[in-house]
Amino acid sequence: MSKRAIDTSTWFSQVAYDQLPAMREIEDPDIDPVPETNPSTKTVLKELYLPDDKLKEAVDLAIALGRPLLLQGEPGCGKTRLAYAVAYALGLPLETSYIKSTSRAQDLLYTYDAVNRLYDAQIGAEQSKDVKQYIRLGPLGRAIARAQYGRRSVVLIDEIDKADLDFPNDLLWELDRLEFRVTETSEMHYTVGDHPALRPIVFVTHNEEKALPAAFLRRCIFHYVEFPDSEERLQQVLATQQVKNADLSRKAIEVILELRQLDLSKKPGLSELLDWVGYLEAVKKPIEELDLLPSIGALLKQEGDRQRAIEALAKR
Amino acid sequence: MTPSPVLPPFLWQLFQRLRRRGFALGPTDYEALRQALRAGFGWTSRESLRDLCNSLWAKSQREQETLTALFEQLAPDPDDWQYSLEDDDSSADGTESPKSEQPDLESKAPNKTVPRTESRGGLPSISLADVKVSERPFVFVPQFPLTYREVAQTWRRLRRPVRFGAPIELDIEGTITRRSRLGVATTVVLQPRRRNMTRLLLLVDRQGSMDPFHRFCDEVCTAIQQAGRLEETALYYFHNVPAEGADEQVLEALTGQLFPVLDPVLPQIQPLTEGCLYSDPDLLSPKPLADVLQSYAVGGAVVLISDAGAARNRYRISRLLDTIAFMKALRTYTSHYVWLNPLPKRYWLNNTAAHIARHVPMFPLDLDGIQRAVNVLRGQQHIIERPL
Repeated sequence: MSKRAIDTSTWFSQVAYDQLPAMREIEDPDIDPVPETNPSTKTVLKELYLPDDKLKEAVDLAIALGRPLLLQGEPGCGKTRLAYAVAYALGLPLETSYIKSTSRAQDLLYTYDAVNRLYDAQIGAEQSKDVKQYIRLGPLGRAIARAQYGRRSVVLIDEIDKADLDFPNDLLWELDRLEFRVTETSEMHYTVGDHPALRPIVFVTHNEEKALPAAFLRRCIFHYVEFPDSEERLQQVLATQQVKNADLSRKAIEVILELRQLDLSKKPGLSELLDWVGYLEAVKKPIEELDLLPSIGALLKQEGDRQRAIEALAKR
Repeated sequence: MTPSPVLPPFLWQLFQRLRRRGFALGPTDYEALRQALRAGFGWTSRESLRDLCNSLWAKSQREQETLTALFEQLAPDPDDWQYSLEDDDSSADGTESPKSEQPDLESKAPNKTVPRTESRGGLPSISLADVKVSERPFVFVPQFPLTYREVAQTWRRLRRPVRFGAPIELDIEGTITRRSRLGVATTVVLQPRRRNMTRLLLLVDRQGSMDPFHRFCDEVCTAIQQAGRLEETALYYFHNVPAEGADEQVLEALTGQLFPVLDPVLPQIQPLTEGCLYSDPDLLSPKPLADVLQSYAVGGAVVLISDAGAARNRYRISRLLDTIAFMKALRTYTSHYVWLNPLPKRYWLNNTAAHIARHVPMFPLDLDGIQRAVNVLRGQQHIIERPL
């Protein structure tokens, strides 16, 4: 692996995220193909997010070294949302790729629509002679193409562990070199080149369903996203998410911290807490009733967990 | 190019210890830390340097715990910590002086109250004042003969790719064939994607002589289940032998021998599927053996993990007989099976394990052993003394 230049042009931690406006004009990532110049923009709403200092540092490190940031943590603790927040904070388009069990590494770069080309050739359409018409770039491919045109992007590869065994290994070369060639036509060759400030910022989330190959792990920066450890911090998170009723959120945090101490098969995470508090606030639930765990279906998703929680809270 | 900063020596120590613990780290990873430090990361405090090492070198929560504990052991005390953001410039010039290598153990101890025994019967009292007690945390991490990664990597070679599911992939060959056969424009031929269709049944001996190996076997089985990426992995437990009650009448021909060999009566031993497997490691929920074999072993691969009597170094003819009868039954379901023995090969002499290994491909549960076991499951030939 060749030595990489360090990119010190971009610092996520230096962006005062809470002071950013509620919406921004950012390049539209959905325009296909990626325009070389004058990309059209679209209005992106601000992602409500409150990263802690460690996480910010990890993001900065990943940007500086040009390596993917591998995020792990309990489901619903905001791994995916981070990519949205970083893209918003830096004003960069976000290319997303939600991995499925049938995803292949090549799909991230480009897909070749051979079937349509064959149909077109059979009816004698003129455009079928041009292979380029049937090449569609994938999220990572578009990010690299955009870098070639001088613009940076954020790439989110979500739940990489869902994919097939070869998936992470097939991506190694492309993530390392940030260049690729469309094998069907030699004219299409994209590369970031020697521009560290244009390297796509790649986020990879991982649920630990399956272990990733060591060679892939080696090339990543690793960060484990923890559930907020203090009540104060949870309050801040709720405040960021525009839960206005302070008494309600304090009580809800008390309940959820207590629930997390129980031996549950799936501990309620941040997203569950937000759903729950959001709903309770909307229906104006009296705070005293929270001990009775109203609408607990939003918090606990298993019958065994539910019963255990109700028993434990009734005992108090 | 700016010269790289000289890293504090303890970081090199840390790097080497991590390597010794099986972390997948190479020179580029050390270089990455150097680069990150040069870019200005990890200078604000001891904790931030630790977090930086964690981000770069530890790739799971467990690895992070190990690294953190080792870092606490090796890093100088916070009082000696002279890095700050102001030092940044000097470090970039490569003039930064190396810090003391070993943490100062004694400076912490004296301020605390020292336990002291009371003197009785004229004996001198004992004081702990002169005893140096290290405050460094210990690192308790299980270190098995096989790491999770080694098992996972080896087991991934066990693949039987079969096209299965909805046809979504273009079959170029098929399309061209059809086009040239019909001579007119036709629809394209699609085919399903390839998937690994290997099915695996793990049978694990539990309790008794297997007690010391429980954790190790659990680790191996978890790695296979989680990372093997097989179509289906079933895990069942047994005690000593999966099947019991083989007809001992066949042994009558062997009377008079101290360590009888089964070879003369081998053809007479009848296949045996009477017995119970357990779906939990505490052997509390039994399932009939025949049912389990019927659902998981047919056409699949079967792995037995057991010491086969080698741990107690005994030779028991009844155990051997039951095992052989079971293996004979297993052969009617699948021809892909191996035996993994947590004890090394030198322990298999003259006990039941040695005799079973004459009839069944048996390998020690180490890296070489599981690699050869997977080879056998993949269909490679393995020569045994007396095949069943």
